Amino acid sequence: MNGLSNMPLLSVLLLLPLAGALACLAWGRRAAVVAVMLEAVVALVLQSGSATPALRWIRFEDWAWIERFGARISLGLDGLSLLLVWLTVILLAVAVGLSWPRYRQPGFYALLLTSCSGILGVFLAQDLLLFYLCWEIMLLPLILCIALWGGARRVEAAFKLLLFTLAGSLLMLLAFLGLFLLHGRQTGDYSFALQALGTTVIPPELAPWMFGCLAVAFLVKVPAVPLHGWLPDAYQEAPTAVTLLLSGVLAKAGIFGLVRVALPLFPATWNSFLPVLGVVALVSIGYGGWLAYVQTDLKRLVGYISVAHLGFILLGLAASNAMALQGALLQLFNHGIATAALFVVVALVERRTASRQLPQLGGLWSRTPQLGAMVLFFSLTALGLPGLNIFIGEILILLGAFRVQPWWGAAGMLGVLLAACYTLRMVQGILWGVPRGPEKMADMNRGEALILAPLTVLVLWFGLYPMPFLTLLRGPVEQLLTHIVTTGGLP
Amino acid sequence: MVTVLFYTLAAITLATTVLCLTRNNPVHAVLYLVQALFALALLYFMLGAPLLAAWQVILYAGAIMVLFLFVIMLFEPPVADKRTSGRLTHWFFPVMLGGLLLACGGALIAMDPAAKASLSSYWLTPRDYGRALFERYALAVEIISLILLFAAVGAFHLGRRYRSTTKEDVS
Amino acid sequence: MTGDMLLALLPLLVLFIGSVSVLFVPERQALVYGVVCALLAAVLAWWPWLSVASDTPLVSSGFFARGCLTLWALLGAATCLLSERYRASRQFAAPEFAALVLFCVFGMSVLSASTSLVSLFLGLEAMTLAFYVLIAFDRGNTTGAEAGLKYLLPGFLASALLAFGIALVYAATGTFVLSDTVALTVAGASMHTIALLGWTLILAAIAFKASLAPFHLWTPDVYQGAPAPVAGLLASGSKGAVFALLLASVPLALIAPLRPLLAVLAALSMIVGTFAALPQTNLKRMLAYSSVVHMGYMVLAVLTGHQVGFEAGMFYLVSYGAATVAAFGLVASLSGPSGEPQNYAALEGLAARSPWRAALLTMLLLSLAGFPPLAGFMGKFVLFSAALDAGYVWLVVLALFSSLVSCYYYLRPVMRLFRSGQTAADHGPANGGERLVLGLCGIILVIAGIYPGPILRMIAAIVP
Repeated sequence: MNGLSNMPLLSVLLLLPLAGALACLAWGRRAAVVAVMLEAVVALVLQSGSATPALRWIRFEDWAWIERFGARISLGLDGLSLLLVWLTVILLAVAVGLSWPRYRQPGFYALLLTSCSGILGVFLAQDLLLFYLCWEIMLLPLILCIALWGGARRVEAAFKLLLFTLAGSLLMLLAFLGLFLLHGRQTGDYSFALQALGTTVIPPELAPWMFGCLAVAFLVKVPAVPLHGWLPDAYQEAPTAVTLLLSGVLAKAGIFGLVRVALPLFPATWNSFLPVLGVVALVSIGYGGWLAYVQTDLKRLVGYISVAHLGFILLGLAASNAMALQGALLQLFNHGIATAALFVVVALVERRTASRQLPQLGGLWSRTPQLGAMVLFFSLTALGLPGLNIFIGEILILLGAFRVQPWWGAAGMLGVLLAACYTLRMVQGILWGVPRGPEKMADMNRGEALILAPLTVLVLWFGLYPMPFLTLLRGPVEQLLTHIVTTGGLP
Repeated sequence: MVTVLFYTLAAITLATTVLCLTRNNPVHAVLYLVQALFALALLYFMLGAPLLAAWQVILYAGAIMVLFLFVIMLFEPPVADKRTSGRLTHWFFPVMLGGLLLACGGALIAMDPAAKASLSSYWLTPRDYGRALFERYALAVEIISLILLFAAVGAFHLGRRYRSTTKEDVS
Repeated sequence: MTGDMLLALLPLLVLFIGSVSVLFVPERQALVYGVVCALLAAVLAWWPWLSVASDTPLVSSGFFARGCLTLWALLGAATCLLSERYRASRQFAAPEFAALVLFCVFGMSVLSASTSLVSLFLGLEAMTLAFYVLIAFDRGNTTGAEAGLKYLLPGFLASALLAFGIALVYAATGTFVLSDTVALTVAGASMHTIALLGWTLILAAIAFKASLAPFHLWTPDVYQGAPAPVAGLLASGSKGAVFALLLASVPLALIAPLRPLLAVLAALSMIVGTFAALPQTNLKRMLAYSSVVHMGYMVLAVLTGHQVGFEAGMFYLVSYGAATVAAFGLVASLSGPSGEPQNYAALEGLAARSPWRAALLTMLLLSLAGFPPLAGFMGKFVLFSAALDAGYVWLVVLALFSSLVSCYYYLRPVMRLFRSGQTAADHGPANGGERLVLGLCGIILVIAGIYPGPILRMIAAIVP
C-alpha cells in the first residue's frame, strides 16, 4: 500500500469523472458505471496515505498552473473533505443508479459526471481560482440537465437557478479578485493560495463588503432562507438525480465554502457575523419547516425539509464551539445521505403512482409493504429519531447552541418539534389513509433495493456508531477553532 | 485684407459645397464642386503652400472632375430644361461665385502671400516633395496604390454581379 | 528601402503578392491558394533570420507586430476555409474573394503594426475597403448589398473623422510618429486643446470601427447581411486589429483627459449591448450586440494603461476571436441552398441532426458568456483583475453585471438547439476545412480555459 501514498490520487479523483464523461459520449452510457466504480475505488483508498496523521492534510498535491497569476492546482484532503468526497461518490452512484431505467441518453450521464468532477474539486481545492473554477463547473452541467431533461417548466426553473447562483458566484469572484490584488500589493506575491491569502491584512472598511459577497455566494447555494428563491422550482422540475445532487451535495458545498473559505479569510468579520448567521439559521429552520408542512408536492416537501435541516447546520456554525461545529460538520454527511434517500423514495413512489401530490396518494403500505417500510424508515430519520444519523448531528448542534445562546437552542428544539409535524404528515399522506392510485403495484425490485441498501446501512452506522467519523473531523474542527479563537475568542 | 480674403474664400467653399450637395442636375453639382475645389486651392495658396494649391487645381479640379463630367455625360446626359435655361436667375449665381473666385485669385497674386500670410510659410519644391514621398513615405505610396488596385477589383466584382444575375434570370 | 527592410517586411510582401497572384488562379483552387498564402505569411513572420532585420519606416517589424500578423493571417486562412461551402453552392467568385481576404489581412497587419499616423490611416482604409466589398460579396443574398452600404456610409464618416483628427494632432505636435505624438500630448504640447480634440476625433473613428456604443448602430445589420465567414473575420479580425493598435502603439489611457471618455465608451457599450442583445431572435444579430459588449470589456484593457492590462487584453482578444470565428463558421457550415440558419427557430433540433456541431455551438456560446472552464472565463478573469488593479472598480462591477445578464441571451439559442424541432436540414455534413477550423477553435478554447499558462507566456513575450 506504500505506493498508493505517493500516487497523485487526488488528481486522479478529480479527472476520472471527466474522463468518464468523455467516454460516455464516445462509447455510450455504460462507461458511466465503470467510471463511478473506479471513482469509488479511488475514494476508498484515499485514506491509506494517512501515515502522518499529525499533519493537517491526509493528502496534499500541488501542480503548477498559471504562473502569471500565481494560481496553482493545489489539492488538499483532510477529514472533512474526505467525508464529503465519500458523500459525493455515494450520491453520484445513487444518482446514476436511479436514472438508469429512465434516461437513456449518454449526455445525461456525461453531465452528471462532469458536475461531480467540479464538486470534488470544490471540496479539495486549496487555491481560490481553482475553487472558483470548480464551483462553476459543478453547477453548469446540472443546470443543463434541468433545462434539457426536467419537468414541464424546466427552462424557467433552470434560468432561475442559473441567475441566482451565477449572481452569487460573480460576487464571489469579485471578492476573490479584491483579495488577490490586496495581498499582491501588500506582499508583492501575487498568489491565489488559500493559505497565503489568509494572512492578508484587510482594511476594516472593505472587509464587511468582501465577506458579504462571499457569504451571499455561499448562502445562495445552501440555500438559506432569504436567498432560497430558486429552490422550489429547481427541485420540483429537475430530474430526481439532479435534485438529489443539488440538495445532497451542492448545498454542502455552500456550507463547506463558508467554513473553508470565508472563515479562514475573514476570521474577525466571521465573529461579528455569527449573530446574523444564527438568525438566518433559525429563520431557515422555522420557515422551511412551515413551508414543508403546507406543501402538497412531495418533491417540494422534501426540498423544504432539506432547507430546515440545513438551517440546523447553519445554527451549528453560528454557535461555533467545538461541539456544535463537530455536529454541524458531521451533519453535512448525514443530511446528504438522509435527503438523498428521501428523494429516492419519493421517486420510487412516483414511479408507481405517477403522481407526487399528497391528495392523490394514500394507502401505499398495504400494497407495497417494503417500499412503505423504506418511506417510514427514512422519514423517521429526517424526523431525528434517536439511533438514526440525523439525530446525532442535531443533538450535538443543539447542545452546542445551548451553551452559546440558550434561546437559539430553545428555538432549535421547536424546529425539531416542527419536524415531527411535517414528517408525520408526509408519512400519513403516503402510507395510510384511503388507498388511491392504481390497484396493483409492484413492490421494490432488486435494483431499487440495491440503491437504498447502502443508504440504509449508512444511516444506521452513523446513527449508532459515529465515533470513527467524529475522530476524522477532530482535526478540521480544531483548525476552525484556532481561526476563531486567535481573532477575538468565542462569542 | 488677408482676413477678408480668407473669410470670403471660406464662405465660397461652404456655399458651393452645400450647393453641390443639393443640386438635382449632376452636371451642375459637379461644376459647383469644381468651384469649391478652386476656392480651397486659393486658400492653400494664401496659407503659403503654392505647390499644394497647384496640385489641388491640376489633380482635383482638373483631372478628377473632368473625369466625373465625362462619366456623367457618357452614361446619363441630363436633359436640358428649355424653359429655365435662358433665365437670369439660372446662371447669375454660378457666374457671380466664379467671378468672386477670380477676383480673389487676382487679389492674392497681386500681393505677396508669403509676406502677409498669418502662418509662416514653408516653400516646398516639387523636388523636396518627391523625395519625401518616395523615400520616407515610399511604403505609404505603395499601400495607397494597393488600395486603389483592390478598389478596382472590388468595383469590378460588384459591377459584374449585376450582369451575371440577369443572365441567371434569363436562363 | 534596403534589403534588410524588405526582409523585415517579407510577411507583408507575401500577403501582397499572394493577394494579387490569386486573381489569376482558377476558381476551384483559389481558396486553397489563399489559405496557403496566409499560412506562409504567418510562418515567415517567425522565420529566424527575420529577427535581425532592421527598423522599418511607418510599420514596425517587432515581435508584437509579427504576433498580430500571425493572428490575422490565421483568421484569414480560417475565413477562406470556411467559405468553401459558399463557393461550391453559389455564384461566388473565389479568386476575388481570396484576394480581398488576403488584402484585408494585409490591412489589419499594417494597422496593428503601424508606428505612424500615416500608416494607421492607410491600414485602416485598406482593411475597411476590403470589407466593403467582402460584406456585399454574396450575389444570392439581397441583404448583402444593403449591409455593404451600411458599412460604407459610417465607414466614410469614420474615415473623415480620422483624417481630421490626424490633421489636428499633427498640427499640435508636428509629427506623425505615434509614440512621439502621444508623448508630446501627455507632456502638454503647445496646442494642447487642439491635440486633445484631435485624439477625441481619432477615438471616435476607432469607436466606429470597433463598434463601441454609441457608434455601434451599423453592427447588427452588417453582421446579418454579410456572409457568415466574412462576419466572423469582421468581428474578430477588424476589431482585434483596432484594439491591438490601441494596446501596443497608442496607449490612449496615458492621456488623462481621455480616460473619462474611454470609461464612458466602455460603460455605454456594456449597457447598450447587453440590453439590445436580450430580445434578439437572430443568432448573427445577437452575436453583433454581444460583440459590442465584448468590445466594451476590451476598453477596460486599454484603460488599465499598463503591461499586465495589455497582456490581458490580448489574451481576451484571442479567446474572443476563436469563439467568434467558430460561431460564425458554424453558421456558415450549417448554411444550405436556402441561406444561413440565422433565426433561433432554424436551429431547433440541431442536437438531433448534427450533435457535434450542436455541442460545439453550445461550448462557444458558453465561452462567450464566460463560463469556466472555457477560454471566455479565463479571458474575463485576467481582464477584470487587471482593470480592478488599475482602480476601475465600478466598471468591473458593471462588467460582471453585464456578463451575468449575458447568460440569458447566450443560453436562449442553446435551449433551442436541444429542443426537438421539425425543421428539415438542408445542410450537408461539415467538410474538411470546416472541421479543421471548428475543431482547432474548440481546442484553443478549452486549452486557453484550463491551462492558459503557455498562451499567457507567449503574449507576455510579444507585448512591448
